[in-house]
Amino acid sequence: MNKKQVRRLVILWVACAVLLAAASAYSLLCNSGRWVQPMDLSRYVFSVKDLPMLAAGGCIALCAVYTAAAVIRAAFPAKRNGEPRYTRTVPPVFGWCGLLGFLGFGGFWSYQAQRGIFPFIFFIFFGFFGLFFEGKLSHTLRDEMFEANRRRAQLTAFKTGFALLFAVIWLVGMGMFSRNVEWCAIFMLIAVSLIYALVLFLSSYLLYRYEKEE
Amino acid sequence: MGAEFVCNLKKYRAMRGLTQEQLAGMVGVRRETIMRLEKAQYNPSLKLAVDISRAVGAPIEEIFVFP
Repeated sequence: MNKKQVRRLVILWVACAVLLAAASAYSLLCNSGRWVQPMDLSRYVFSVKDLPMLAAGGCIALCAVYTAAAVIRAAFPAKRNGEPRYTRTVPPVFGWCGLLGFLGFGGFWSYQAQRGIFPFIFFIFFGFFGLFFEGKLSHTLRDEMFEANRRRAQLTAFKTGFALLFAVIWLVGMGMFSRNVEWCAIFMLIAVSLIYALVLFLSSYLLYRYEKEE
Repeated sequence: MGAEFVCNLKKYRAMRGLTQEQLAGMVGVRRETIMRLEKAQYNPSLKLAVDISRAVGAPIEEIFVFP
């Protein structure tokens, strides 16, 4: 991060602090200290006089996002043109993390026991099986043929995912589980999680296939 | 992938006494890419074709022959 960017960030945060101080003073003097003193948000009713404090809060949130983005951009600078680029190094054994996907079956138990369907999203972890193939392509020079194969693999994976998603939407739209909304929600959650996992896996697997001509 | 063509790269590379690895290093790609090019299984970008043409010292239209 260069000096100019740091100066810009400092100016932004000083402006935010001034805005917050002004909004707080207005709230204390003209709005009974709302949003400055502790308040019960469950019984909150909007008032026009709250706008300065809400605007100050919004500005601070935007500044925080901008600062985070600037820090991340500074920590991971873009590669220069012409500089050799390699794929990341991933041990193929990480592919075994895909076994975590079986935790998704815990959703059936949690639904029976506590009516909770959260564990079904663990089916997404099946996508980690793709790390096995990504690991085999670790530290490969990303030349133009590699990039072409990567785009081809991703396109095929996305097309497959969208086709399956369409099938799921069509099934639900045609009335599958229409008598029980909970089952419908569970079916959608499982289907979307598995499709997401499949797209992650296929992107890596197909790239490996195209690279190795298997 | 792409249009079918005849690739004479292997001949011109041999005339220059270059290995696939050496040529790949000269044009900034992997040996596998050169191998696929020589088998006419990969259709290169214009930039890569020009780089290869300069590296082996032969005109593009003689290295990559499109019918």
